[in-house]
Amino acid sequence: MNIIETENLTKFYGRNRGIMDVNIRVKEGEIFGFVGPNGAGKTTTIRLLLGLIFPTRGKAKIFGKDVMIEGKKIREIIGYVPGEVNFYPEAHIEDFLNFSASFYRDVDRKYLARLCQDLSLDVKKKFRELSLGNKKKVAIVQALMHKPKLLILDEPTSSLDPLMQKTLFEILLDEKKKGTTIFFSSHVLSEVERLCDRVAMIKDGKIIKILDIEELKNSYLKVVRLQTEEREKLMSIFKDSKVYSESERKYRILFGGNVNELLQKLSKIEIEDVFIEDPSLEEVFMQYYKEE
Amino acid sequence: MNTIKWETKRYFRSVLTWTIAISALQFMYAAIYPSFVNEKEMLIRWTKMMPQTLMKFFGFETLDLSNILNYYAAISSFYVNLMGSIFATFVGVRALSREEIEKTAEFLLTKPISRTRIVSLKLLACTIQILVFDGVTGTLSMIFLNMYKTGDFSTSKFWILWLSQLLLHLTIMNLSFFIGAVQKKPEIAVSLSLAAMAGLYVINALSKITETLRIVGYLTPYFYADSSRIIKHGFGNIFVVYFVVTNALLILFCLMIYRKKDILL
Repeated sequence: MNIIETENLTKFYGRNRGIMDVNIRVKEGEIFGFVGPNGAGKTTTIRLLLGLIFPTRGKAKIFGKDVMIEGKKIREIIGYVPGEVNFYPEAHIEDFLNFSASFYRDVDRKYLARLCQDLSLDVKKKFRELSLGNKKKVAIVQALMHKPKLLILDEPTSSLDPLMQKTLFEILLDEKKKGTTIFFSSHVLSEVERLCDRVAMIKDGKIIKILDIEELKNSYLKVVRLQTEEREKLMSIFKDSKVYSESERKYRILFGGNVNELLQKLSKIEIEDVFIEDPSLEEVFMQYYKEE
Repeated sequence: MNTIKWETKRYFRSVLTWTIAISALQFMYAAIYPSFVNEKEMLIRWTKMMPQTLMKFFGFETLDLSNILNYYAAISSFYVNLMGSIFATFVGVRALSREEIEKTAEFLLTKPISRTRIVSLKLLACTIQILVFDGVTGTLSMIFLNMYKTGDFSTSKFWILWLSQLLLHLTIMNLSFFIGAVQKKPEIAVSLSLAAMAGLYVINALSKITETLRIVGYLTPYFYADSSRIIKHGFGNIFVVYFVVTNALLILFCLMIYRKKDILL
């Protein structure tokens, strides 16, 4: 079952492009990464899904319901962590969390207290007194308190220290085990690779690729980093692959094929140093971005 | 109800400050009334010296200031009317525009609550703030007038006058609420609302002294809530009709536009 489904979702701000013909399907129980540079359209897509803005054309459905028509019902089972956390500065965290809980039926108070404890959140402080990291923690707690079936997170790890990032990942993986679907927007490709099942890449408002992380890991694609002085020979042997020159004698090759074939080809060149590894998401990401 | 409770708590200090400030002014003006009465002769001479246009502008021309209620109506037309309107403007405009300026709309609008309900609850919370402000300042004013009166005055006339101020403040509040809700640039909503409120006040004041602007004056709530008129002629049904129609239209258009508004943040 698709939890999120968009159909040619398009948003223009006057003449300015927001997103164009975005088609994504997020399956039940998966962690779906959403990556792209600033201004690519990540936040626009999220705001359309949440009903903060309205599409110029196209549709978005969550749990099979149109976000424009049944937004209130959908939001009952969604938890949202914004990229930039702006809550009521004068409010005490305890009061704010109670206010947030009042929008939902049957918030489990013990679970809420445990979340605050796990994230080491001091609920007696006022929101404006908190550091950026602690503000993010409040955002995470208010998004999880009602045990949502879908979590939408926009850059959730920004301003969290490494220990807290680890705790957040544990919480998210725990949520995934419970069957929660997670839509995870991020700049940090390593965390997307580590956490997500699939990832959509967005550039200039358009989806350029949707990748399965497992397939990526099991693919024949290899990254070869080598150092040699035989440039011309290298170029002719790897003429079917993508060869990037990193410096005068250092090259990066994206090789798709059999490893034995790769080793045979490498043996024909005088090599000073070589590394063969699986491509990281970043590598693939950069490749697609350059191609597009 | 959670939103009403939240809003009430959020704006409690602001309502309290405005209520104390206006009540203190009421007290001050009531306290100096006996000295006004003692200097009646000088007051009459003073009013005769003033240009008639100016007297008309402020609604002083036919008022007998020897009665504390008339004196009060003349004074209140300055500051309960105008200062109360400024307070009502802030109450109305900040309800939704502040959520956008401070970006808390991203929290509120992603909760399971419809925009229609947000508008309704916020309007109710604003109405409560105006009711508390006018209720407390009205009651205290009544006490102050009784403390410093030099003769009897009509209590019912006082409450009718106060009711007109309440309806005026609610109308101004609704107008500002509408501007705050529909304005695409929330940061200019406050100045726009204050300009609209001041514009209506000036149009009404000018309509009193300029024959050609008389009809335009009927469009402003200040015409119907003119203290001197209320004291002399009472509270016309036309004000009730004006109040109901204006406020119903403002709320209706506000709902229609806000439900489809892009919250850009």
